[in-house]
Amino acid sequence: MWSDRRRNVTSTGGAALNTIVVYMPIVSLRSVAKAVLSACAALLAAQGPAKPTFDHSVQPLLTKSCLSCHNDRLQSGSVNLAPFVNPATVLANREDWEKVVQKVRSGEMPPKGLPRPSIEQIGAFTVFIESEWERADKNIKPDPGRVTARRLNRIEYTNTIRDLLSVDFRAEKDFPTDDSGYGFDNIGDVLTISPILMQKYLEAAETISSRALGADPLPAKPVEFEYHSKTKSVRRLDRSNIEATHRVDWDGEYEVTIGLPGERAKDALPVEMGFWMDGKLIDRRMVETKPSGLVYFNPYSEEHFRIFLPEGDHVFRAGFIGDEFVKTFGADKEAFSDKRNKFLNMIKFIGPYPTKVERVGRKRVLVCDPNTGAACVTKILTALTRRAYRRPVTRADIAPLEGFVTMARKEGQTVEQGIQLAIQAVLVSPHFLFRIEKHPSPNDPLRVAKVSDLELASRLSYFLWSGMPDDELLALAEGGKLRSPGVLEAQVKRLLADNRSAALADNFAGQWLEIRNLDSVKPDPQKFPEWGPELRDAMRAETRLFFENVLRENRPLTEFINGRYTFLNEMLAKHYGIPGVSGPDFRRVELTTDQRGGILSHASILTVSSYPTRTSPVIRGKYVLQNMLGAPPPAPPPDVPPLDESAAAASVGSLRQQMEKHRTNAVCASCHNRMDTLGFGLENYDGTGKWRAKDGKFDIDVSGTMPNGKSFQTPAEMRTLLLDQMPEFTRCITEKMLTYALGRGLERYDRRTVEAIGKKLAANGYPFQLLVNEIVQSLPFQMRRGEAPKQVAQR
Amino acid sequence: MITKKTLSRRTMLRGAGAAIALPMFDAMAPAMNSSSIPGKAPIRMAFTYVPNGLDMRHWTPKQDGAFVGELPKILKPMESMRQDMTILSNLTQNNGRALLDGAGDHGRCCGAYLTGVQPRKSFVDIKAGISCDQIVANQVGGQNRFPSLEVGLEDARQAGDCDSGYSCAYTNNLAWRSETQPLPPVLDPRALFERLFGKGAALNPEERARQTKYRRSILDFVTADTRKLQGDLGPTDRRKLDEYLSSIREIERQLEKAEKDNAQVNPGMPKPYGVPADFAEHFKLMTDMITVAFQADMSRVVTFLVTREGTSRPYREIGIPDGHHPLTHHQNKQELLDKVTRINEYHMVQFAKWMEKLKSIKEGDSTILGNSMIVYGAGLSDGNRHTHENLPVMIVGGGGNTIKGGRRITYRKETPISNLYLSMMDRMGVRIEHFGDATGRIDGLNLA
Amino acid sequence: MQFRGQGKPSLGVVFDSDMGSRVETALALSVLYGLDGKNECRVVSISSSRTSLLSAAYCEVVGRFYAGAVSGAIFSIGRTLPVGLAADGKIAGDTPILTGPLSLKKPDGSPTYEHGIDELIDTAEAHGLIRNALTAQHDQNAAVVLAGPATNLLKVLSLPGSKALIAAKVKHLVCSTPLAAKELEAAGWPSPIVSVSPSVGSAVLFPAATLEKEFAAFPAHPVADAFRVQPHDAPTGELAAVLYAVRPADKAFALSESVGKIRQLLLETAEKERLLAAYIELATAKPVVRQPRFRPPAVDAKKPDVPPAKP
Repeated sequence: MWSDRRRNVTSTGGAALNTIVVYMPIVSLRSVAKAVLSACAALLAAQGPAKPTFDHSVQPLLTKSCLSCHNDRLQSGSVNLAPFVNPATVLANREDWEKVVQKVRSGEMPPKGLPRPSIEQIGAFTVFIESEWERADKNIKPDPGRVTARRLNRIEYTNTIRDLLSVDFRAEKDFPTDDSGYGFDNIGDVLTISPILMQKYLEAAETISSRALGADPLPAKPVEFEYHSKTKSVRRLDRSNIEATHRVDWDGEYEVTIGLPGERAKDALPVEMGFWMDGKLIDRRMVETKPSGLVYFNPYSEEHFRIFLPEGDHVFRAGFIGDEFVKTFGADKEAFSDKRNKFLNMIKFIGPYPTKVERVGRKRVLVCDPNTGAACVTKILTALTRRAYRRPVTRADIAPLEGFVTMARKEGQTVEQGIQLAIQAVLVSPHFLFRIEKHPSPNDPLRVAKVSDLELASRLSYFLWSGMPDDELLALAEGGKLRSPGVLEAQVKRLLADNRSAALADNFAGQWLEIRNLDSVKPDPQKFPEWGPELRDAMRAETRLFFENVLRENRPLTEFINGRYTFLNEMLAKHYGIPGVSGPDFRRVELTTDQRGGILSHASILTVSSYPTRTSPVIRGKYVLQNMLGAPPPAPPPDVPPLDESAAAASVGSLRQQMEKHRTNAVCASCHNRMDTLGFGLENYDGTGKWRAKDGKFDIDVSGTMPNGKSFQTPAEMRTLLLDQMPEFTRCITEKMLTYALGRGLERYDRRTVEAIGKKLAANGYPFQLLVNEIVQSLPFQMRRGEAPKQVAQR
Repeated sequence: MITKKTLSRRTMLRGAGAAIALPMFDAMAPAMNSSSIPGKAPIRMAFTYVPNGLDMRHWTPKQDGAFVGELPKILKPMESMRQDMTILSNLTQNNGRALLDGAGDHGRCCGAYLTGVQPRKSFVDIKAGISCDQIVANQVGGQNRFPSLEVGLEDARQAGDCDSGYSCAYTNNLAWRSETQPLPPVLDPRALFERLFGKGAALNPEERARQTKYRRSILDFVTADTRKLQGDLGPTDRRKLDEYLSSIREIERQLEKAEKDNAQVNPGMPKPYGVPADFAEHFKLMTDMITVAFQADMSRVVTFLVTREGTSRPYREIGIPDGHHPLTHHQNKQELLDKVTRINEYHMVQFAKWMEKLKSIKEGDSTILGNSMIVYGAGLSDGNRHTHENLPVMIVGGGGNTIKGGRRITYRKETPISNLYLSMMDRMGVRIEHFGDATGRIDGLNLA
Repeated sequence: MQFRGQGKPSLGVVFDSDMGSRVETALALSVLYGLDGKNECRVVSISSSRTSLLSAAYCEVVGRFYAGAVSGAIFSIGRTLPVGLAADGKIAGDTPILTGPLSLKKPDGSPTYEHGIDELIDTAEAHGLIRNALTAQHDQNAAVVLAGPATNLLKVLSLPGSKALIAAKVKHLVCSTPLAAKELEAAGWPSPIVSVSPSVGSAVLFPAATLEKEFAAFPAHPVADAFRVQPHDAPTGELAAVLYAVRPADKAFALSESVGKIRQLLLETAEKERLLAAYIELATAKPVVRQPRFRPPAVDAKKPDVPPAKP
C-alpha cells in the first residue's frame, strides 16, 4: 500500500543501484500502532528501576533467535542481521527493523521447529524498538504531502456531466481506460492525457453541449433497428437472456419490441420479462407463456413498450427473470424448440419520437432567454461556468466565452448555438477537466497550507460522490463557512445519505474488493452452468448493498469480516442454498447457518479470486492478505514462475496434496504457507462461491493454522480468527480509503494519520462513518504542501 | 556469391584456417528507400504483439536458411505467404530480464519490448523510453494524418496490481510517446472507425470547415487558459499540464492535416457498433481498418497489442476454458502445452488472414505487404520459465524490396532485438545511431 | 526478504581472455571457478578475443565442467549467458591447448568434453554479452579480469552508455598485461585499473607436478588435460589477476602508486608460498554443482528453446 520509494529508486541509477530491491511491499503499520499502546506501557514501566535498553530487551533475542541463521556466513534468505546488533540501526535502518518486528510478532520467525522466545521477551523486544521510533517520530514535523492535479477519470467525468447538465453521457464507453495506481483509478499521478483522449474530450464536448440544449433536431422519420438471433445480431447469453449492443443516436423515446417465439405447456405460468440497459433494469412486465390459442404456424408473440433512451452506445438485454422452466430442458436444442418452450430471439428499436421528458439540462443552462441580449448571455455563462469550474468565476473567465457567442453569430448562427459553442469550450478547459489546487508557494516543500474551502468542497464531493459539489456544498464553500464548527460533519452526513454516495460502493469498494473484475472474469460454463449475467449482477448487487448498508447504517467494520446477515434475491439465495427467498428483488437476509458470514463468503469475491475453471487457494490467500490484512505477500523471486496450480490440478491427488508437495521448496514455502492457509480456508466455496464439501472426488480439507499458532477447521472458524486481526483490517481499509480519498499513494509521513484513525476507531467500536469523518478531518485531506523542483532521475 | 557470404556468416570460423567474413551491415543507404521520397510507394511498419510467450517447439523451423518442407505448427496458417516471411532467431531483450528488479517479467518484457530500456518498477511513477515506432512517428509521421495508430483487442485491466509491482501501464500499452507517457491502444472498433474516418462523416464541407474552425479557436482558448494557470503551480502539476498541452498540439496538427487533404477516405465498410463478442470478428474489424489506413496512407506506423501481456483470457472460441497465463506455466505437462500451442495457432490464423489481405492489395508493381514490415512476436520466448532470449520474431513483408523472405535467419546469441528495430527504422527513412540497448544493426535481411 | 545494502550477492566477475594462447589462462579460469565454488564470487560472463570457435568451445567446456558436466546444466556459463567471442578479428589458429582436450574421446568414441559450439551463432557477440552481464550486477559489485588483448573491452567502451554503466558497476579492472591496461586507460575506461607487473608471473610458478598430485584425483579435468599437452611449471600472472580481483585484501598483494589511472600489482615475497598453495587449492578444487533456483528439472531437461536447432 505504501508507495515504495526504494522500488522507484532502484531503477534510477547512481547510488540507487546498490540498494537491493525489496520484493516485500513495505510492512503495514500494524507494528507501529500496537507500539503506541505498548510504548505507553513502556514509559510507565520506565518509572520502575530497569529502564528498557537495547542490550536488555533486543540484543539477547536477536543473538539467540535470529543470528544463528541470519549471520554474515549463512545470510539465510539473503538476510544478514549481524550488523543490526547495534542500537543505532533501530532508527537508521527502520524499514528493515520493521520487517524484523513484524516477522517476530506474527510468529513467522523464528520458523517452526526452532525454539521460540517467550511472550515476555517478544513483548520487551517490540516495545523497546517501537518506543524508540515513537520518540523519533515525535520530533518530525507533520507533513500533509501533496496531491498531483487530478484529471477527472471516466466515472467522475460521467457524473460531473450528469450533475452539471443532466446529460446521460457514458465516458466509460467512449474514453480510453484510465490507468490505475495503488489499485485505484483516481490517482493523480497516473491519470495522463493522450492525444486520443484529447480528441475524445473535444468530440464529447460537442455532443454533450448540443444534447444539453437539445440542439440537434430529431430526424423527420423514426428509424428502425432490428437485432435478431437469425442474423446473429443478438448474443444469446443463456437460455433466458439475449443481448445486443445498440447505438442510440438521439435522446428520445423509442418503441421497443421484443420477439418471443414458441409456447410452453397449457398449464405453464406467466414469467417475468426484464429489459436492461447497461446492466440497469429499465422495464419489467409479466409475459404469458402458455399457448395463446391463436393459430400460428410457428407460435410467436411480441412485447411492445415505449421508453426514453439516452444517446450513446448501450448494451441492451432482454430476458426472463428467475425462469426455472428452462432448467428442465436437457439439450439446448429442446430449449429452443418453439413447440416446447417460449424464449426470446429479437430486440427491435423504432425511433426516436419527440419525448415528453422535459429537457432538464436545457432548463438548467438557459436561466433566462438568451435572445434578450448580452446581459442574459453573460448571466447564463457565469452561472454555468461557476458550477463547471466548481468555484466563483471572474470577468477573465467569462470574457473569452462571450467571444465564442460573438464568433458563432458572425458565422451566421443563433445565440443559442453560440452558447452551445461556449459550453464546448468550458468542457475542455483545464479548469473543468482537472481538479487543480493552488498553493501559496508551490515550490516550497516546507510550506504547509490549508486547501481552500472550495478545493475542500471538491475533495469532499469527489471522495463521496465521484462527482461535483452540489449547490449547497458549493455555496457553503463560497461563503467560507465549510470549516465552521460542525458544518463539515453535517455535510459528510448529508452527502452519505444522498444516493450519489453509491459511488463509494461502486468505485471505492468496487476496486478495493476487485468487484469490478466481475466484468472480466469468465467462469467456464461447462464447470459452472449456473453462471450468467443474471447471477453476475446478483453477485455484484450483494456486495454493493452490503457495503452500502455498513456505510449508511454506520455499522461496525467488523461486519465486513463476520457480518451475520447479507443481501440476496431468489437467484443468489438458490446459489447459496438458502431457502425462503423468492423473487428478483434483493432483501436483507439474516444468516442462520455458519456457512456464510462477512464479505469473504460473498460469491462476488470468491469468483474474482478464482480461475475460470477452478478455485485458486493462492489467489484467494493473496486476496485476503492484500485486501483485508494489508500485508500482501512478496512477489516470487526473479525468474521463478508462480507456484503452478494448473499443473497440480491437472495431476492426481487433491489440489491441496499436490500443492503441499510443490511447497517442499523453502523459497516458496516461506510465503505460500501464509497465503495458502487462508486460501484453503475458503476451499468450501467453489469457483463461483457455491458451497461444496468435496472437490471432484476429493474431500475438502479446510483446516489451517495462523502464524500466531491458532488453528481453525472451518471457514467460519477462520473468520472468527480473522476478528483477532481487527487492527490489521482497520489499518488496511483505512490505508485504502485514504488513498482513494486523496488520489495519491500513502507515504511514510501519512502513517501517523492512519495510526490515529485506527486508534480512534478501535476506541469507538469501529463505526464506518467515523472512518469517513476521520479521513475528511485528517491532515492530508485538509492541507497540502509545496514541492521542491525535482531533478529528473536518469536511469 | 552473396549467397556464399551469408552462408559463411553462419559457418565461418569452423575449424582452423576458414576465412572470416566481416559482419555485413545492410548495404542499403536509408535515403534510397526513404518513405519520404515523393512518388515512391510508402513503407509501412507494424508490430503485432502476442502475450505470455509462445510454444517455441512449434515456432522455430528445423533448420537455418531457406524454409524446407512443412512449416512448424504455429506458422502453418502463414503457408500461402511463406516466401513473404522471415523468422529471426536468437534475438534477445536483455532489459526484460530482472536486472536486480526482481519479479515481474510480464510487466517488464512488455514495457521493454519496443522501448529497449528497462522499465522502472513502480505502480505509479512509470518510466520506460520512447518506443521505436514513436521515434519513426515523430520523424516521418508528420506527413500522414495519423503519425501512428495504437490498436488492441483486450480491455485494460480494471482493478488490482498488474505484475508484482509493475503498473498496468506496462502491460496495457506497447507504444510510448515519451519516457513517461504510454499510448493506450484503441480497443473499440467504432472508436477506431471514428478516429480514422471522423464522427462527422455526415457533415457537408462547409459544416466540416466550420467545425474545424471552432475546434481551433477552442484549442487556442484552452491553451491560453492553461498557460495562465501553469504560472502558480508546482513542478509536477506543471508537468501534468504540459502533457495536456502537448496533446492539444497533436490535435491541432491533425486538424491542419485533415484540412489540407480533406478528401474523404472511403472506409469501405459500415461503421461498426461496439466490440464484437467474437474474438476473430474483433481481430478482423480492427485489422481491416488498419489495412484501409495503410492503403489510403493515413498512417504508416502501427502497434497492435493483440491481448495484454500476462492476460488470463480463456479461449472458449476454440474450446479452451482455462486462462492463457496459467496455461503457459505448463511445467511441460503435455495437455497444457497443447492448449498453449492451440492458442498460438488461433492467433496466427487471424494474423495470416490480415497478411493475406495486405498481400491482395496491389500497389504499383508490388502489394501493400510488399511495401510493409509487419513484425509478429512476443516479449517472452518460454512463458513457463519467463525467458527473454531467443524471442519468437517473425517479420512479414518485403519492406519495399529490402527484405528477402522465405527463410529463417539465426543471429548470434544475445543479439539485442533493438538491432532489428534500428534496421527497420533505416527502412522507414529514420537513420539514428543509438536505440535502446542496440549494439548495431542486424545483417542479411535484404540478402538471400 | 532482502535488506538494503545487505544480502548483496558475492562479487560478479567478468572474465575476458584470448583463451588458447597460453595454458596459464586455463589455469586462471580454474582458479576463478574455484573462488566461485567458495561463494567468494560469481562468474557472470566468459568471453574470448581469440577468433576461433575452439577457443569459445573450450571456455564452455570448462564452464560446464564446473557446473557439473554430469548434469550438463545449461546454466554453466555465467549461469545463464553463452560464451562471448570476438568475430571480426583475424582468424586465429587452433593451438594444442585447445585441440588437445577437445579431441579426447571416451571409450565409446564420444567426446570426453561435451560442448554446444559448432558455429558462430552458438556464441555471443563478446561486447554485447559483457555489457548485458554488467547490467545485472549491483553497483561496485563487479570486477573485470582481462587475460589477453583488450579487443573485446575496447568494443564494450564503444557502446553507448557503457562508460556510465562500467563506472557504476565495476569496482576494478585487472589486466594481466601492461599494454592492455594502457590501451583501455587511453580509451577512457572509467573504473580503477590494476595491471599485473610482469615480475609477478614469473615469481611464482604453477607446478606441473600438480598433474600427478591434486589433478590426478579427477577422472577427467579439462584444465588438467590442457596442461598435460605440454607439462611445465607455468607462470601465474593471470592467476594473480584473478585472485587479486576477488581478494584485493590478500596480504600477498601490494599496489604501486598509481600512474595515471593505473596501479601496478606487486607481490609480497614473504607470501609466495601461501600464494602458491592458494593457487593450487583453488585451481584443483572440486566443482560445486549449483542447481539453478527452484525449477522442476523436467523443464531444464527439455527446455524447448536451447540449444537452437541446427542443420
